[in-house]
Amino acid sequence: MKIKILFDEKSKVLRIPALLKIPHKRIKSDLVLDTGSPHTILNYTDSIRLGVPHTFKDKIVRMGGRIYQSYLFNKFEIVFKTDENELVTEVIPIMILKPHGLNIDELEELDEFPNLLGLDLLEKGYKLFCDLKNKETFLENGKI
Amino acid sequence: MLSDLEMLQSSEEDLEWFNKNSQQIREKFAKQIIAIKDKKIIANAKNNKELLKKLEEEKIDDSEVLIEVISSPNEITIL
Repeated sequence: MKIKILFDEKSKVLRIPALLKIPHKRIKSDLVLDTGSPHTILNYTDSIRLGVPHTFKDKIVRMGGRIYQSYLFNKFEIVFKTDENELVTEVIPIMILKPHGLNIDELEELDEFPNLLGLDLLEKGYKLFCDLKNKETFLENGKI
Repeated sequence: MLSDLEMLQSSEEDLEWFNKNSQQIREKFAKQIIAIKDKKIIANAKNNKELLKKLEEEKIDDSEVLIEVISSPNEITIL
């Protein structure tokens, strides 16, 4: 069974629709597939929508020439739909980024980052099939 | 209340609609944040804080909308 990845031809971005969940709360969202990211990252806005606490400091993250402080949240669920209308749920520690300094402009710039699906989720056993010319992109996992 | 499967189905449809119309959307809503529900843009704002406030004022449950950042048509984002 496959999890469809949608390709935005204009902005050249691969997006996967998903439900993002913490205990007692879920939101509709999507994640941009980013094989250049070791970790899956929840954008600042979705962390606010969900009420994810920014409590546990983790690594410093360098992205786009800027430095961010990451916060880790462990009980995070990402729910996908397969092409056979089944649900696949992955539980994964998620990172939220905040500016390393106290610059308010940098906090507003965080608005612009999407959620990123990184290699940590792909490492759970997913194969990525990416044929953009024929418009066929999906994730496939042996356990689904 | 919608089931998880129903939420995901509508999410996929909204994202497909967004991708199909992304050129026009970028021209009209460049450098804004938009909220999409049922294949329509139901709100737009300069930043996420304003957008979430608009949705709250309209009594729209923000958990059931897709929120997308729209870059300028002459910009690309490299992650």
